[in-house]
Amino acid sequence: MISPELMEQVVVNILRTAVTSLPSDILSALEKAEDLETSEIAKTQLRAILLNVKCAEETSIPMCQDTGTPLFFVSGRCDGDIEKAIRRGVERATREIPLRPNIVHPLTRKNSGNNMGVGMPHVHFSPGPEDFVEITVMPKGAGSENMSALRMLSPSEGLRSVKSFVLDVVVDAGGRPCPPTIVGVGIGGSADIVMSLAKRALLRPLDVVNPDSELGELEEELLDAVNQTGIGPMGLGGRTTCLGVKVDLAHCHTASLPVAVNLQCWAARRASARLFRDGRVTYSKEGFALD
Amino acid sequence: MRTPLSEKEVRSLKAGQVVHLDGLVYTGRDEVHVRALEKHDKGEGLPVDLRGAALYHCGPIVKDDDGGWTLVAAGPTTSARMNALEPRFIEAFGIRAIIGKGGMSQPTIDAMSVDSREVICNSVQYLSAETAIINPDEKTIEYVKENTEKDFTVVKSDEDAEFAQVKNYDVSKLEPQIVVPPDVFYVKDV
Repeated sequence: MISPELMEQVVVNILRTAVTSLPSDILSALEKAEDLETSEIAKTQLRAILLNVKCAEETSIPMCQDTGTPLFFVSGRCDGDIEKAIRRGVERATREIPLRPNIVHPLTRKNSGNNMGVGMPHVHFSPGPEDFVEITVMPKGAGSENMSALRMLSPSEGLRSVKSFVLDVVVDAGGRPCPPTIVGVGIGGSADIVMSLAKRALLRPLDVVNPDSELGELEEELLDAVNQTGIGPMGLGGRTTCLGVKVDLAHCHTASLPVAVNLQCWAARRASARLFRDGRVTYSKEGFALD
Repeated sequence: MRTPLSEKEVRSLKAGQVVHLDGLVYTGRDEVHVRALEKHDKGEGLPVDLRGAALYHCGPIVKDDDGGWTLVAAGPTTSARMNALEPRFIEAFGIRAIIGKGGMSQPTIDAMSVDSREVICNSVQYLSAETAIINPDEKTIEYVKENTEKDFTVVKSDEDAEFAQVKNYDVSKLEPQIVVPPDVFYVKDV
């Protein structure tokens, strides 16, 4: 059994890593975009973003003042009170890093001051037979999260409507979600499942191609279409509106065709750790190889 | 450029130009807009003079160090949150630059008075359009309610309407012009 103290420390560590540095796949996509852009204004935006990320990493200061909603994904050996350790870790990280206390009551807007609240931090569990527990944190900024959308399409509307819905969401969002974004798309399941698929899709590294070749092609097609909108970095025009489109699906009811879009800003922060029973811990920003 | 900015300096700028600002910059989000406008409406002054100032829609992380606040990080926040208040804020206090993110252009239409919308629609018809509409929003519906007791139906374009042509104009860049009688095509810059 893994000690709750170690788990709490690991939560603080991955939160710090996530808010002060970017995974290498995101960083290299931003660098590539800066190279690809031809307009001065798009280049200026991307240079400012890259310089900001560099400063954040060097000084261990959050790269964005919106240190997000604390979302956690836990898989593998889920024993012990993992949720409690995560809560303690978030509370400590909020004081020590510090993170901005973002979490408020939805109606009174009263801020708890420590990123805690009813249902917060949120933990998605996927128990498995592994001999370790894997914890991933995704501090999700509100600017991009506010652009999320769900549509329960009629099955007869089909793939064409799925595509146009995704594009509509991106175009309506314009510069507000802090592009270049990553577009997470969920197809199928039910209203709650599809949104969760769209969110989880954002955790897949940009360079990991969808194992389902049809979805892989859809991702490429959508990426190309999104980048033709010209919205560009921070919405000021350019070729790079989006760094990647990630699509996941679940089977659904014969009378339904749910589709969901969850946008991620360029500060696509995530970090993971694996805790083994012998107390060993390994860390990764990029996510561990799929196995 | 250095704050405070003059009207002349600001008018010399072209859209899309990169501007480096120096000098004092004020930060303010929703609450600042609300409070400043409340004071303004009561005829009370602000503790600072914002004429020609730059307003930064800034979100910070601050650390509470035993009663004092230390700034940890700060960045531009979503400017669209200030959409409803910004036109009045600009007019009331005379700020000349906004630093923010995400853009504020659609709200320019939202903030336009019914008069301004009528002018745009009429002008298009003068130039031989069959009809001209701006999608009705709360403000339009409110206006109609105030001006008729009859029932009315709100007609909007279909969400999936296919247009023969789509042309995009940035209405925030429209400059006022005067039509000189008798010909509607004879316009002069102000």
